[in-house]
Amino acid sequence: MLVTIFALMLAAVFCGQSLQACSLALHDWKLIFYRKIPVTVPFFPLSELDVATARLERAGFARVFWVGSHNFISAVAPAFLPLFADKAAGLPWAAVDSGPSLMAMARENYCPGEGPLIIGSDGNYIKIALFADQNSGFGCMQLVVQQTGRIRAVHPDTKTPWAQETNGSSWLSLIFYQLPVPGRILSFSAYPVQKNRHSIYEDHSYVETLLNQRILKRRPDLVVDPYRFDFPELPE
Amino acid sequence: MRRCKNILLLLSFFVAAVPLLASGETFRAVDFERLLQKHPLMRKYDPETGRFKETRSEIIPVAKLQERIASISAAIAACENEKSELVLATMNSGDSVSEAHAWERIGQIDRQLAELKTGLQTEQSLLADEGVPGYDKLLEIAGQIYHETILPEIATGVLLLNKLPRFVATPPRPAGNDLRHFFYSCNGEVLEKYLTQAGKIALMFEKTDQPILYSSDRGVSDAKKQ
Repeated sequence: MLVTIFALMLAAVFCGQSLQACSLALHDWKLIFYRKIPVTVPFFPLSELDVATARLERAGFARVFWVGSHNFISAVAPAFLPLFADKAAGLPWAAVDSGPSLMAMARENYCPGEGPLIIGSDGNYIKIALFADQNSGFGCMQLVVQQTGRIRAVHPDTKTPWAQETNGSSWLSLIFYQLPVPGRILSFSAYPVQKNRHSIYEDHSYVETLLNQRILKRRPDLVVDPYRFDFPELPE
Repeated sequence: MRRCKNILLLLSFFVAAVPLLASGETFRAVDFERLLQKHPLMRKYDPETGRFKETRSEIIPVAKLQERIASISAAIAACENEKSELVLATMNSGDSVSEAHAWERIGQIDRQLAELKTGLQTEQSLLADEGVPGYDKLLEIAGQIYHETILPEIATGVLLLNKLPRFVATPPRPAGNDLRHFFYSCNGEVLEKYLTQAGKIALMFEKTDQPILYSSDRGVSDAKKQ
């Protein structure tokens, strides 16, 4: 009995090391630059897409009204949604300027048949952070652009009217060595895409070269989750 | 030839041990079994299952899990119904004050729903493993015991030698994904390092199945006394 517990204790010691890693390299990210900018509306509705897809899996709707004080970028952003594989990305998204409340809009669209999903957000911020990897002598860097905000959605479904309030968070991450220029980019990824981090670009051969030159620290072979790519939590 | 080998082995022991003994450094055996027995969590240890009762490592009967899942599912449905009725009432009222109150309540329900759904997911995955929690739950407890028993013994300046005693352990009943988890999580480097030193340790100590503390300070309390 005690022998088993002792063996488990040893295992606890060996397994208790926290790791921040990409698929090949082991990073130790240190925040070196951070800016938080308030915005009226997210530039790209990735979190909104996530909420819409989750709702679509439970109840049908024909289109999405994305409500907010739109700028040029956010007004054209829905046109790029079909590039994503999320279920709700295939529906028509209309960028609607905020006027009446979401509930008032829902009331106007409350009728039999598949009504729209009305979604908007407030308290929106763009967070820009630059991390440097201590394990590579601060040569490897990660640029993160994160959008946060409080998302509210209403679905005026005649069978089961529905609303949700949630904190949205979406980000883009660019990992590069020394400069963010072609040839030095290790990976480019986005979150959330189908509820997960999605790798848009990865240069494994470049990562391998940096590992062989001992510029990057190689990740130990036996790690719990070899596909963990995250960055430390950004300040509020 | 064999005699020569033995003499060489003996000499190698003196080469390592004499300078240490001459400088006043100490080796002492540690009775970790006794230390473990004294830990309060050990009272909850169930030798039959190899797990700790009333902790997250405990095996839960399948029927009990099904009961819990049914209860959480009912709570989720009740929350969803309340929200649905609230949305309908708010849409019909058209009053901005009641709308603000409604959103406040919707936020509360959503937070509650998020907790319930997380709980449901945990219970469902436990049910998929027939009520046997993963080794990670056991490791949490083992880690706590380790921090509270062994760490104080290996305070500054004290080295724990031979911390992988050579004994055969009967493992507790594993959960479905535990084998995969074990192979992906153990730090092979540490084990390999130990194994490369195991031969040297065996030369110095007769019983390599006994953990030993090495200290350069004679004032360190003897673990044997505990």
